[in-house]
Amino acid sequence: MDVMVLVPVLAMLGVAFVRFDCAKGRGLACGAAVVVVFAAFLGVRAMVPDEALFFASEAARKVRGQIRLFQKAGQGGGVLLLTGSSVATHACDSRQLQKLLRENGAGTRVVQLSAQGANHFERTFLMEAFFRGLGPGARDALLAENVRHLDEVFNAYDKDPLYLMDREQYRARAKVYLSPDYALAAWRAWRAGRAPAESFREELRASLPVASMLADRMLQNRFGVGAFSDMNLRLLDKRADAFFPLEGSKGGFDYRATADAFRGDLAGRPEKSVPAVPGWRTARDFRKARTGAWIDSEAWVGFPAIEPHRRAWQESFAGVVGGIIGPPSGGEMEAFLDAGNWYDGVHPTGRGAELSTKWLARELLREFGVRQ
Amino acid sequence: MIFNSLAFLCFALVVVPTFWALRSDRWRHPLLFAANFVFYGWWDWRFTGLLLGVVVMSWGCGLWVAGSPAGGRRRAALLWSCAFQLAVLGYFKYTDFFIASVRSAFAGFGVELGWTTLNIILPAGVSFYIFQAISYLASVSAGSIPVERNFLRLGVYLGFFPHLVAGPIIRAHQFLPQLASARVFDTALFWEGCRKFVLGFLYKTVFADNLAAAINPIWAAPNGRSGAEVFGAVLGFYGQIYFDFAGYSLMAIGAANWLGYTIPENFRFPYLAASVVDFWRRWHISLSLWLRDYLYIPLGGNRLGEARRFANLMATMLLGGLWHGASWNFVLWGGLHGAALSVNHIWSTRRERAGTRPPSVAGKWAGVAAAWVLTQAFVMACWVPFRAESFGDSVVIFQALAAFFIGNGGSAAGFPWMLAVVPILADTFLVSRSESTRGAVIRKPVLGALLLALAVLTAFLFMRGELVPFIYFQF
Repeated sequence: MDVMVLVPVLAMLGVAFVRFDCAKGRGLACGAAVVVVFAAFLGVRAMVPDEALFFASEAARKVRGQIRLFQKAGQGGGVLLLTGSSVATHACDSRQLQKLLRENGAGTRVVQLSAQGANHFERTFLMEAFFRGLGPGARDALLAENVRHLDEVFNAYDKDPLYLMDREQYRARAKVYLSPDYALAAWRAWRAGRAPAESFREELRASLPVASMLADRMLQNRFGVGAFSDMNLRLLDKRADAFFPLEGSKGGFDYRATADAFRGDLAGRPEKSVPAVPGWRTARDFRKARTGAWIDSEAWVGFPAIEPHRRAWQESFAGVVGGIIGPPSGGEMEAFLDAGNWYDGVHPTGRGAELSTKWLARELLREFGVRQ
Repeated sequence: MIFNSLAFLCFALVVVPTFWALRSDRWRHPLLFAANFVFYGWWDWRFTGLLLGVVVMSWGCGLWVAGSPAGGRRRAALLWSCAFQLAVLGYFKYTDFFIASVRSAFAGFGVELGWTTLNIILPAGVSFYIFQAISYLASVSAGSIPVERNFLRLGVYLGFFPHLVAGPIIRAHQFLPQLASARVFDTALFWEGCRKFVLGFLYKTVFADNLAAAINPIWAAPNGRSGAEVFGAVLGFYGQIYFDFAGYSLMAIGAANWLGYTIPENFRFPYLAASVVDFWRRWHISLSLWLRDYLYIPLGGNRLGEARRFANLMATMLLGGLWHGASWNFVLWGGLHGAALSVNHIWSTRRERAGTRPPSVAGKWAGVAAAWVLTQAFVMACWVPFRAESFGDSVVIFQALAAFFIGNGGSAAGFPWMLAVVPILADTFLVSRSESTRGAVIRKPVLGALLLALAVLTAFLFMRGELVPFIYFQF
């Protein structure tokens, strides 16, 4: 907290000391004055990138951290952009991955743009913010190289494009990326991803909360609500890492039962169900429209998970979409089957993340070997 | 619905222009009556029935009281009417508290009663509109206002949306006459309403909510915190509760002004007070006056001797504490203030009797400064049981504060000291002067609109995105 607190204090003093003596009502002129001020604000706002205005947000700090690492990693060799949610955040140590790739002859630099609870729109935003943040020179140099995008496959986010947005902490941060076009795309993806309602009333009951939530976040985005709420200019330079190793295990998580269920599932899986992913497709189309010009190729990754339904989704997803790395085969999963590797059925601990990163490095090297 | 929400903006944009577009109260009152229920029902529509029930009960009881012959029968009618109102309040607010207290008291003697609490949801603002209903009935009984035979008008008064859920508690004689005369659009009042609303919006969304975000984690788990952190949390709450409640009151007054009504002020810079008596003349004025007129004075006030006066003060403040919430912490808070008010009165009386010669100017200022520091330190300390989650947490916090003041407080890295100190000082010592200073007078409405729009945009940038409920909603 620093001198920025003086700005609202001055506003308070300004409003407190002013007295109105306006005998005649000039409603139209006053309304026009308010509209002009708000329009001018919105005009200036439109020129400021979201990550610059919301400089203290987790997304902005993460992007700054990755830009810094990227700049330190030198040039050439191509770039791998990894996006995802908490699974990628806890399962992939991007520095270790980059080191492993380099040690094995692939000079690819790894940019880790995953974030806890990040849905597909937030991931798209993080990618955009990364490219914007590089600046024109570095961006052009990067685009001259081979840019690969690797996105996490996870049933919850793939089925529901607005997954977790009903929780306060995720809803609160959505204002950072829900600009009008993002909000519209999120609305379309949500609509595409759900079964049609039986009646107009049902439709209204389901869509009204989502529409109002998106509209509210979109307005907050445009008016920069909360952009300076930390009142701390030192956060302008604050960076956050994208990989967080977990320790211990989640309360209530029963490793043995989950591992037994996983083994049983591997032994006799019923026929794969084909996932319906219209919401995901809409979100993907939006991402391609926003970042397609910067990306040379895209692929998906199904990180190791021991909850059977997560893995089932990854396998089914591979059947529908293709181009997916993982999930690890039954044999490969043996190395992961240890209580010390799992925080819960889907998030590895730091030790599990090391294994997971090594597995991903092997898969990528194989992939690059085929494609390079 | 809360004032700092998009829903309220839409609500106000419909209600206020429609109100003024309607030519007479014949249509305006039904509009306000309906608007009150929409405003209240937005939070939980089931409780609109409760509000309607209280209005019906108050209307019927008012007719009963007015129709009873003056004297004992009217008094009995009033007492029964108040008892009905208090029964509603007691059921929703104190049933679970009573069950839990009796159960734990018996458990202390090793007797398990096996009673379970009913998990009754407390309807927002029930304490406020019940108190207003009682003030209406008492005024009718005393003959200071005529009984309101128009059901709709009484409903508008009791449920008037600007002050419905967190006050100020408006007396019937302050508001019903306003409803009896047709409102005429007053540009100056409208602008004053806008100014107050924006000032309250800044108080609440920027200062109170940002302080809440900084201090809530400390209050939630005070164990193991450094003395400096705990002191920061106490100082932060000292500012937060003021900005939160004074901000709400300003917004309520402003919203009423938009419709051409006036509501009395609820705060008069309480952190300027140099005595506890003065503090209660400045803090939550509508409640202080209500407690004085409907509890302290009926109990005998200061008319029955010193000892009875202090007993009345204690009883009033203990019940005032309990009004804030069904918790022993609030009772303790009220008791501390009751004791301090008694000490304050004894001190003043003795000084007057002693007739000491007037001090020098420097001595007078030093005395005022010392009294101010002492009063505000006391007020701040009393906020600890008010805010703490439990009595045990209060003890932990006082221990940490003691460590802080003996120089063993550790550090509070990252605590927003500027936010905790600068706005409250600016408000107490600068904004308080705005009432006596002429200030900048704006005669061109367009300039006023520009200024307020800029202030709102500043609030947007500095406020938190998520809605933080007003503290007094829980009361």
